[in-house]
Amino acid sequence: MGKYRCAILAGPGANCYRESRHAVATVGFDHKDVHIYDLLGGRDDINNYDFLFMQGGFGFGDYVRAGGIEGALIRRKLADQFRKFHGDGKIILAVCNGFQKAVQAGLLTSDDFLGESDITLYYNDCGDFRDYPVHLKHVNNGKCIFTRGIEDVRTFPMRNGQGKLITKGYYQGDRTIVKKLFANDQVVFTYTDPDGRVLEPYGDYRRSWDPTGSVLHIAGICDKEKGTVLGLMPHPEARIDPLTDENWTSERGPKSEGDGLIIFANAMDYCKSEL
Amino acid sequence: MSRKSEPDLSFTNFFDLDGPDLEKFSAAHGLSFLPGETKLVQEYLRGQMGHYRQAGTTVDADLIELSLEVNGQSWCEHSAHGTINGRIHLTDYSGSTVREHTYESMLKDTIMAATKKLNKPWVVMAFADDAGIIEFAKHGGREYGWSGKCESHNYPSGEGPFGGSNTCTGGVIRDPEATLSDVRANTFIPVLPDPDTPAEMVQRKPTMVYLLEINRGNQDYGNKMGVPTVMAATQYSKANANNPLVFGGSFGLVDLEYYRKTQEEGLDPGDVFILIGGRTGRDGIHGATLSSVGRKASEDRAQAVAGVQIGNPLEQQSWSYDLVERIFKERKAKYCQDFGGGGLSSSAFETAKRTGGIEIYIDNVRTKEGGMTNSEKVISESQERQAIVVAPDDVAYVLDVFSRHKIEAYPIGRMTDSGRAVVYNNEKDKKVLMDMDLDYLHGGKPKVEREATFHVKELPEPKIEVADDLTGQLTEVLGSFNVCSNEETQIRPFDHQVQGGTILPQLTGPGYDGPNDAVVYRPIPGCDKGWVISVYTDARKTLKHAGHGVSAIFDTAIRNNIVHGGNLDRMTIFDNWAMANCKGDPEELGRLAVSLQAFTDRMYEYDIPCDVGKDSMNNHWEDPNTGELYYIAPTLIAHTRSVIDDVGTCVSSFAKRPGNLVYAVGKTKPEMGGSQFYWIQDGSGETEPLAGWKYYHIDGYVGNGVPTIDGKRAGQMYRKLSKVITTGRLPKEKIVRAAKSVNHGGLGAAAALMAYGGRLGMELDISKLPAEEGMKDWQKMFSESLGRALLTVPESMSSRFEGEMGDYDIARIGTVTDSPYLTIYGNGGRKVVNSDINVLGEAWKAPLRGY
Repeated sequence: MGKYRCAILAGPGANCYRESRHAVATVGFDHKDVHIYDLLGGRDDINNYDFLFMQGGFGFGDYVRAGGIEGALIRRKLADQFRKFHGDGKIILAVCNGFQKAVQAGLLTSDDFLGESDITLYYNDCGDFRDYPVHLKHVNNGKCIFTRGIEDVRTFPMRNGQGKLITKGYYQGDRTIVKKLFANDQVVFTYTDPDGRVLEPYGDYRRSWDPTGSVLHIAGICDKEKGTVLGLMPHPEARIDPLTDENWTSERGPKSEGDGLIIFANAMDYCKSEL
Repeated sequence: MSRKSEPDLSFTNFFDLDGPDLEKFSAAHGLSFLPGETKLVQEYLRGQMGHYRQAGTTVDADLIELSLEVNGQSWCEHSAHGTINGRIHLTDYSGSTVREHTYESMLKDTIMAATKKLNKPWVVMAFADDAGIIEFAKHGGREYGWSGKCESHNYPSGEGPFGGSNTCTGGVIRDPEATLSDVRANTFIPVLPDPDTPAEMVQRKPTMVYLLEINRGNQDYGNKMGVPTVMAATQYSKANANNPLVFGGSFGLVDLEYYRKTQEEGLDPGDVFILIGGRTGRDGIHGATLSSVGRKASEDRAQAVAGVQIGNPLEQQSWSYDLVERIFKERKAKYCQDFGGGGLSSSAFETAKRTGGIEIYIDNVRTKEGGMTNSEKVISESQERQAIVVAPDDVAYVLDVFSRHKIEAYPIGRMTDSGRAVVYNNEKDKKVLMDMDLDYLHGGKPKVEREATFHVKELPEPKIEVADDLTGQLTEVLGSFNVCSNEETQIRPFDHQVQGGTILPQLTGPGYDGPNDAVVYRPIPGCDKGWVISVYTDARKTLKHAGHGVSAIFDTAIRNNIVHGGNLDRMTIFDNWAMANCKGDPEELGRLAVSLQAFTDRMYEYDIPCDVGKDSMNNHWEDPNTGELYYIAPTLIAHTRSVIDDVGTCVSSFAKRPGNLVYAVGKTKPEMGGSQFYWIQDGSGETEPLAGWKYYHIDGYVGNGVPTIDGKRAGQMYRKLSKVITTGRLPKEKIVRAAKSVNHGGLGAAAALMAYGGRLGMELDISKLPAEEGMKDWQKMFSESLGRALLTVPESMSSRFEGEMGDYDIARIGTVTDSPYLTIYGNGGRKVVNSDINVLGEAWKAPLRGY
């Protein structure tokens, strides 16, 4: 068993636990499903762990808004735990519904950790849930600890209905927040085509490589202060094994490793050097 | 007081009724007893009076109602499967001589007998419990089994398309879960009215409502459950205008040691029956009994709509997580039983068979609303409920696991060995509310005895006038609803990858849109073994000849599985039937009998067991104005599942590399009956109706030459082919680089989709095809003969391939090309197809885009 511990945040509707466990176990984390009700009931604390993986799913059914209920629970009842965890330099990876929760909780703002959220994730431009491979270009300049060393285009599946990233005021013509995200080096991934070219600003979602229609095609961001919180809509944990890639049967054969593995390997490297 | 002409049909008056009034009574209370059965029930209950008197129980209206409801639930078609288990005398007029046969119990005599006789040692459980189980893999010191189940939810989906298909998915997941499985993968296959159905045929819900809502139902449930819908398909037919059908399959991983232990040790009297999950409400009252009769517009709307359950996937996801991850992993449940059709009545009294008795404390049942009667509590089919039986010592522990996560789980009964199903008010007072013999409930139903007949009619044939160039026809076939891409309606909206086990999804290739006919799934990370799952149906060929149509579906379902890496020596097939008026029409019952017989004959020929199935009878619609009945086509949804030793050896369908050779496997014959090519012909001039299928000709022509197959020979070939296909792991080691089963749309469609999927071209010469003498080009292009596949093979591997497959009908018919054109040459070297593959691909993708 590894020395570093990963908490996989479980709860009503969290449904990616098998692939999440596999991903963190592959790089050597000791892992445990930590249920939100156990955190709220005081039976467990995220500070018992080094790495918090906020997995995908439909938290509380996403009936209020994606990630809304769990985001509010974190903000109102677990803020102290999260503040200490972040302050200690421990790391959070929030994927898909986890990203939605993290955004709603204010873990990813252009300003303070646990501050007022100034971005949101809204219904995709394609109008519906979509399970589709999307290509990501790494645009971070070194702040995000999860993505160091990524140079090529990475292909992960998007599996969401509400992954359109919008910054506050963007559609009223106010670009302040999105500019801040770039200025703070918080933007980590943008959607791109398979060859890494910049996408047109708008397009028909069926022909676009960004079915979400996110602002400036942003797919993932990190926190402002430390780069230890990464949130993204597509699923890196679903691409650990080369055989999970859609096109491993093509003429080039399976890749030597899954596209998502490096993100978890970086998490382990960070834990080893910093914690 | 009621007048003489209108008998008093209240429960208090039950014992005073007689003759036709009893049948009226059954219908008035939605009990769905068959003629004569109500009388037996009356006699039984009358005989119980002494028993009740002795116990000091008053026989009042409530007791009568509860007893009748429970009796009705356990005897209805949905639960007892009276037709398929009935004594059926078949007179078959289809051959040169009249053949007569009596099935003592139709299903037992056919499919179940075959599975028993084939006696595969790796089949752990067949036709018992809630799912079939086969051995799967040994990994990490554990032995795993693979459970599977198929389900239909036709009646509720016709009434409430979203709710019906929503709870179909929820329900089918609970089935394998009840065999202590961790459910990993789903399939979803509706049979819907086609989008072009003329408005005058629609008497129920608009066609588009069915199309959208039925798919959305599965999307909502499957995605939220985190169970990937690994394979989805739809068949369209105007015959389903008022009778949409919804089928689902579900597959799980079983800890075999635990499962076997629970089977061997069984349950003990005193064990506690615990209800987990959702509350009991008034939704789904009479779902099982209503689905056991045909549909007509005049029936009570309120009653019909109340029969549709309301799904809540979040509830099921929450308790499933704890049930599987804690209770099953810690081996605390001794038995698990889902709440399906019939609700608590069926769940509890089925479980009672295990010890020979049960007592239920009905006051414990928590309800969604106040004022529910005891009968309502017992027969409600509210969703998201699962029952487990645990040893008394474990009860506190199990309840704590759930309560920590705010899930309702509470004891509602105890196992006994009294031979009786008893309902008390609560455990303390033990006021008897119902008390019946288990033997009577499960064995008292008189055997259904019916006459069945089978005829095959000569159907009109279209006059085919085609030009030399078949590109137009090919484009039209590709764009026809039963061939075209379901990417936008089903594959993208359904999460088919969640939990990370999907290895070969339904769509692969550079554009992520080349269709595979089966999917490959790896349930255990780090273990190379995997599941190959395929599901197939055809709603056309059974119209001409139920038996031949069923054989065609059977063969294709197996072949779809084989071409992507399936293994016929570790394969089972599921039979999932939907028929029309089996109760009232001997001819329809004959079609069912012939279908079952054909299925069974093919099982022996291919040497493949069937381990689980499901049947749904009486899917017909009565026109409220004319009283005319509209039938669905005899429908078989065939799931095949097989174990692949190394998921890394599976093969996808898209063409990989220019220069690869294209081989056709299997012989093409002029078998156009029920083909897609006949479907696109204009049949509206035809008037001769088939009984019950007034509008069959609106779907083009069916014709007569429905394909047939020598299953023995095909089985041998598939075994060989499977080995060749799974040879090698890396591209340079593979003999076969791409494989596609030739099914809907024939060879032309298969070639176009392989080429388009790989964004490469193909140059083919169909005069080289292994085919019967004298076939025309259009027949070779669009015939749907069975036993065929298209493969691409690297030139360096061609002699090896020909050596391996030399005993069978194979021919090299062309090559994969760099230029993106599909070019096909026919007889005399004439070019019969020449088209940009992107044009063909667009024709294939466009029809359902935007729905």
